[in-house]
Amino acid sequence: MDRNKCKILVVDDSDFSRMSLIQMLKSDGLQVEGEASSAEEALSILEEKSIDIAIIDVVMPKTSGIELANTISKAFKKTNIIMISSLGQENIIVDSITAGAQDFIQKPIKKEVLLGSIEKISENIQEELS
Amino acid sequence: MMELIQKTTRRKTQKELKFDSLMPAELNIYNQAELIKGKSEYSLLNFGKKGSELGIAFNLEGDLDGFIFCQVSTKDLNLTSENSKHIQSLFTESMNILLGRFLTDLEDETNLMSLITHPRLITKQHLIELEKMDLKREITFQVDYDLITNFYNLPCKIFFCAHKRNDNREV
Repeated sequence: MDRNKCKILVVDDSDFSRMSLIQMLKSDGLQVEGEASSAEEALSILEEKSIDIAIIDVVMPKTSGIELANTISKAFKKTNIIMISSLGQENIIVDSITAGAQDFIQKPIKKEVLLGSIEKISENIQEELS
Repeated sequence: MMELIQKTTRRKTQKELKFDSLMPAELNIYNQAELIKGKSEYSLLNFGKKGSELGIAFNLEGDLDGFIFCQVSTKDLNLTSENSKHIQSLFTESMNILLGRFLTDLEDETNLMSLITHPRLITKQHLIELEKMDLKREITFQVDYDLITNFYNLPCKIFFCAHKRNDNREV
């Protein structure tokens, strides 16, 4: 799948982080299909829209990003997950991958790292389709 | 044998470590802002919210237990409801990124694993409660930063206050 055709959902309780990520993605022609400031909001978007990649912050109030990733990987099997966090300790990365994430990126996120991760996932989606 | 040497070296590093030295010298925040480290000191906790500062606090959980209080001065700014919201969001995420990097580096250097919780806004009542706490035995330090954007230069203060949970470790 062409990465520019991937439908992306950005989930982060920080307005600044969410806006910065969306700006980063859109400036490279990627399709941001939705944004959510909480796990609950993200799930209601996922119920309505088909999302290829969800970019999820780990630390969020109420339901954490790890819990959300767990739910998504069980209930929305076609949605791939990239976890993001300011914390980059080993156990956070392991928890993210165990919850079903395909990748983990530590904040502050560099554009080339994020785009590289999306590129890799879109290639995997393409392989599964063919 | 090699492992033993590494362990001994690590313990020595831990013993000699000054926590504030692990706070990043500078950090780029999504190409929209830059955090530049200023002075740091080990005596602290003279924070008083004067009204021109915005304060947030993160709880610290894990091997180090306590809190990190962050304050930004907005006294030279002409605040409107719109830029006030933007500054609050920029400041909160910048502190989140800075402290996340610090705690990640801290674990790499010392094996001390600590996490920060979701930040909360600090009210004057919170500050009164903090000032009443007996903090003499705690690991405490203060670091100043400048949060610089194309439009603002915001002086920030970070107050770190914690104690060890596991007394078998050297800090």
